[in-house]
Amino acid sequence: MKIIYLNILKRIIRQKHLQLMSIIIVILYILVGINSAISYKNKIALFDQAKANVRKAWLNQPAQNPHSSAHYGHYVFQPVTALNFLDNGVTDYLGSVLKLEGHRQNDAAFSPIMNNSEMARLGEINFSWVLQVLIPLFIILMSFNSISAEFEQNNIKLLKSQGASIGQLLWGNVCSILTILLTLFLVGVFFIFILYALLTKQPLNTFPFSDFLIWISTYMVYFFILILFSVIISALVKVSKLSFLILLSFWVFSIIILPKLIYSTSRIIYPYPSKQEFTKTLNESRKKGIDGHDPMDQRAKQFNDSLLLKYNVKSLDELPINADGLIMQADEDYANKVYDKHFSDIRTVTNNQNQLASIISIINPFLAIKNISMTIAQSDYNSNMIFLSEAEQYRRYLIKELNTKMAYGGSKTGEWDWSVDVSYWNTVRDFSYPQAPLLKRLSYRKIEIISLFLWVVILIVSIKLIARNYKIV
Amino acid sequence: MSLLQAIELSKQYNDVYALRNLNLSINKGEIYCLLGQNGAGKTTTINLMLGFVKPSAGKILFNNIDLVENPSLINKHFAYIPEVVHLYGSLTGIENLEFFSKIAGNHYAKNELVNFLNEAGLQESAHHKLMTSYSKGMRQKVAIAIAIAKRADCIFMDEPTSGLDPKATNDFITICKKLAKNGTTIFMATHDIFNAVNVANTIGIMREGILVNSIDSKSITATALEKLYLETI
Repeated sequence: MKIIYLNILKRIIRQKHLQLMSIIIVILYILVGINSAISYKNKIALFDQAKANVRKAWLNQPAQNPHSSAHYGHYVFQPVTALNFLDNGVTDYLGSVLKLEGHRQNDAAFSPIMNNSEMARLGEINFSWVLQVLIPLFIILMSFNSISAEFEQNNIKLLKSQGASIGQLLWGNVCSILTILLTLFLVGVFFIFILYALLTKQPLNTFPFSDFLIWISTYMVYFFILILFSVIISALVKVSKLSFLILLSFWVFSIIILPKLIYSTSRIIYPYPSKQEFTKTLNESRKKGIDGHDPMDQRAKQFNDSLLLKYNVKSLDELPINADGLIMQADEDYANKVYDKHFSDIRTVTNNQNQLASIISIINPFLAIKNISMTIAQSDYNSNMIFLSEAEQYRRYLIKELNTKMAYGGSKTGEWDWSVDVSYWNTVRDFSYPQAPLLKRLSYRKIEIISLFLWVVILIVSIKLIARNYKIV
Repeated sequence: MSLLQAIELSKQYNDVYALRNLNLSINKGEIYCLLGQNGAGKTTTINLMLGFVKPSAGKILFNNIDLVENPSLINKHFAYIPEVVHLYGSLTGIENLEFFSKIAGNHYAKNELVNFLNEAGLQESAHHKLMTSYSKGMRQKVAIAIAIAKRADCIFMDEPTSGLDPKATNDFITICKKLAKNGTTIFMATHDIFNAVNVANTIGIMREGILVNSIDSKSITATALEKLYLETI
């Protein structure tokens, strides 16, 4: 097989259109690398600056009532991981900045897409896009006639009569195309990494090398699958034009049509409630709780009565604590339950939609690699959900901290002009959360991983079967 | 003793016979030409001899050894020259020869490869040019060089002179005669009656999968063969 492998390698390298395509890919690497590096560097700088400003504004609050701070609002930012540089996934669409405030949960705000023209619908070009969308085209160009040309040029019988087996021919093609592709890929990866190190000036000791290696390996598997598939089609069809047409149709269907079809279908099967319907249900549920800002509210009155009983006093003025802080926390606790229920319903719908896409990835390796790549780079929906969940936990901590300070910090009920010392602001911790380890993140992508594995196994078995039963006449 | 024998050899596709009860015997150093219309069974015979398809019935013997049961002998002793030789356009003539020789298990030095190409009649200035610049006749010569380099006992040629100009055809016939003189057996399917008489020792005429005539070329002229051929088919 080595002889056939080296021969095919030599022939591919000499093909002018492939040389041109390789040059285009290298130029794309350069453009994408520079674009990603600048974009990543700006995003990091912007987020670091904004985070510092938000914290500074928090710490520099004047001596005031803690509840005023709860309404003042607090911005948190989804961490920008190093591999976002390679794959920014759905981050730009979902948003990575959140405003936290008392009494309400917010969706992620200020997604970069919001600040862009309608061209933003086309999406930003990044390294993973080149690998997922363009490289498959390159693979098709290299392999559509790998076996069919041997028929068309009458070489197949000559090869067979010289002693070459069909298996050697199939694997020789697979290995030689893979060699060229991996060379181009690894050159690109190396180049992108150098750009990352030079342009972003991020410390390399924090770079997630193990995640990076897994990311590279996953793409290698993806390319291997596409090469096996293309060579098999070329062998089965035996006519180059038809083979090219089939592979191109597969590319269009897998990369353009199927993802959009799944998106539309998933929204039909698992529809979201309308905004109006959702807000109405949410407000109705919310009304059943305590209104912390309305002393005449019946449930607030009941809560106050329970406090009087607990502290064995006759009026709120006699309480050793500030009942306003506790009643607002009770309001917050109830609101949290309401939000948890309703937002959980919405997230279940989104999860169901995403699950459908995962299941379809069994037949579409493009969807599988897209999801796995985003997950490794922490730019997928799950990573955004983790951020939103952590941000909500932080919001609850923050509001509870402020309400508790108001209740037990030394003020009495009704003292709305009571204020905390400025040193208090520093005792409230800043927003941060540990990043989920790679294995945990990948556990959300079991179906996609199984999909790639199955594709490899099925295609290898197919090659073996074809090699055994292939008819050259 | 016959080098190559077909005994009651048949090939059937569904209910249709592509070849029916072929019996022939070819000696070492003999040139056997098989004439017949398109679809007469010439290429099927070559495909069977080279093991590209399995026979429905009958035997193919090489030195009295059954090739269906010992297919490894085919690659070792037989060579093949197709009707249209393309080889690989992005490789030079010598690179193509080197590649196909290596597949057959022969690793030759550069000067040996040059000798094979010279022996096949390819001018030396063309050895290092890409095959895309070769004429049909030149590509044919590289294919002959591949067969020579394999040191095959028997070369199967499927309409090798089709599309060649008279000079190239003449060169080709000369090389075939030289090979046969050196002991190589040649089995050739062709439409070219005049060259068949010129080059062959034995000429077979096929019709609808059946060998209907087997003629000693010394006993017939080209004109007589043409007449017989037209009457037969």
